[in-house]
This record gives sequence, structure tokens and C-alpha cells, in this order.
Amino acid sequence: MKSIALAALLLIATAGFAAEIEVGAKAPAFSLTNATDGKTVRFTPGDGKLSVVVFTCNQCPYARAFEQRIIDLGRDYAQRGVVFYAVDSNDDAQYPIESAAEMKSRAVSRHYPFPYLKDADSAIARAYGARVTPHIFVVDGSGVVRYRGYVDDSAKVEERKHEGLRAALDALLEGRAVQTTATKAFGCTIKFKS
Amino acid sequence: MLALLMALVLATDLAEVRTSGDVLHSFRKESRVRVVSVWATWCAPCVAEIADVQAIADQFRGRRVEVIGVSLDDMIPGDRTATKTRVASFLEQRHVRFRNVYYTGAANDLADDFRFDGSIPITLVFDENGHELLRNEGVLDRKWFITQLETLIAKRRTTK
Repeated sequence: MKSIALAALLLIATAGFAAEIEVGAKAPAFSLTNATDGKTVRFTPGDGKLSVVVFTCNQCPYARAFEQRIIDLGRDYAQRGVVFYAVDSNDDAQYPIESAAEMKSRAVSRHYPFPYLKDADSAIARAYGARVTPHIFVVDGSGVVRYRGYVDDSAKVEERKHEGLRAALDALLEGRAVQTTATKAFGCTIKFKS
Repeated sequence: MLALLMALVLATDLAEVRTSGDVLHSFRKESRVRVVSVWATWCAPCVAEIADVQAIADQFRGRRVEVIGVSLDDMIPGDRTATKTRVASFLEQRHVRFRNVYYTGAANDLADDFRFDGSIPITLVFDENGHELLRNEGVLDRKWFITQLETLIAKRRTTK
């Protein structure tokens, strides 16, 4: 009884992030500039392609810890028709390391096998409810979000128990239901453009 | 060299914990209001708020309020001893005097147990029985938090 009363009285202050888009909801479309070549890349959910939207960035050590992993997954799954979009939504006015030039430098030197898109006004991060880097959203061919959350449950290979992104992609490619559709994405908070 | 030695000494004080239970058991028995600040040196908002956390620890000293920081720096792959030394050095540079522990368990388990979505910093307040009383998700709203803590303490005094 006491714990119920305490729960009712629990006071919470929040930072006021937009809610993560629900699994089962239609994914927001976007049209962003690829920092690597300056060309516009459009993502039209429902284009028939299994897609992965990866919110990431240049500076965050946790995102960096997952960078090679995401590159490897992007390369592997491209062979199976999966399209990856890496999106940097950090405010580059406050954090110059997140500028398009820095993004290009990183994407080229690391041989990103996918576009690295600048979400200059952070609108796409807000539309998806992305909070941190890295934060993953898997969208099926009909444009519906089928998985959201972390890449894996640990950045340390030896401690990894659940490969969230790989499991979701494998299930969808094999026509199975995704077992774990939502996980908790850890990482650096996205530095939203105000 | 002296700074490095100092950081190494401090790193040994940074106790390793593996579970949320370990975190809650790290508090002194006599502490009635237990503040848990989950943070990491790689988290910019966490770094920005750490002086406020210290100020809160200072303000409530001697009132059976205890603050413990939980570093999630171990989430980044690397040499644990070196990371702990770096965390200790950071705490020393920032004049952080509240106790900190070094979390080596699965971050997702901690998030599940403390019911947060993975975003840090987060500050949670528990009573001596481990019941949560208050939380601040995101960067600490220092004024709000202090007001709420004062209210909590006053309420607990009257229901003692």
C-alpha cells in the first residue's frame, strides 16, 4: 500500500524529448543532403525497400564505439537489398564537428557504404523521436516502423547478448515477425537545433 | 606525474558495481534520502550538470541526504583501468566530492531496473527501503530539484 502511495506521489521532471515513433506507425519521409557528395537523398517510406534509419554523429564516443559495427551491417545487408541512411541531426552551429565538411571527412575516411545525411534543423530527429546517438529505426517495405532502439545491447562484443538491429533485419528478410520490436537506445543526447 | 598518481589512487576508490541493487546498497545505512545520479564523461549534458549535482550534495550535507554518482563510462569498449583512471581524474578536476561508483553491468539492466529509457543524465531519489520518491530525467533542473527535495524531507519529517 505504501509503495502504491509513493508511486502516486512520485514527482518527475523531464527534458521534454519528442516521443519515439511507435512501432507499427508509418515512418516519416525525408529529403536530406548527403554530406559525402552534396546530393539530395530522398527516403520515401513504402518504396518497397527494407530500410534502416540510423541517427548518429561525429563526436559522440558511444556512437563512435558502434560506428564500425554499423558500417559492417550496412555493407552486409546492402547485399540483401536493405538500404541504410545515416543521419546526423546535431546542431553544427554549436558543435562545428558536426558540420557537413566534418561529416564528409568522416564518411570518406571510414568508407561509409551508405549516405551520411545532414539533418540541419534536427527536424527529422524530432519526427522520429530520436533521442540519442546511435538510435535505430527499421522501416519495412510498406513504410511501417518495425524496430526501434539500439544496434546491440552492448558496444563490447564479448558482452553482447542481443543484436537488436541484426535480429530485426533477419526476421523481416525471412518473413518472420520481429521478436523484440523496441529496445532502449543508449548514447549521447542529440544536440537539437533550437 | 603527480596528477597521474593521484588519479590512479582515486581510481581505486571508484568502487565497481554490477547491478542496480549494488548501487542502492552503496549508500550509508543512516542516509534517509538517497540520490542516484547516472552519468558518463562521454555525455556532454552529464558533464555540464555535475557542478549542480555537487552543489546539491553540499546543500543537503548533514541532513541524512546522500548523493552517489553512477558512472556508465564502462559502456565504451576499452581498458577498464585506464577508463577508471580517466573518470577519477575528471572527478578530481571538477572538484567532485560526492561519492561515485563505476558501473560494470549491462546498462540496459540498469535502465530496466530504474525504469528509464536509456537517456542520461538521470537523477533518481530513493528512500532507505529503495522506493523511488523523485526523478529528474535529462539535465538537472537544480532549482526544481532542490525545492522537491526540501518538500520531501519536510514531508518525511512529519510522517516519521
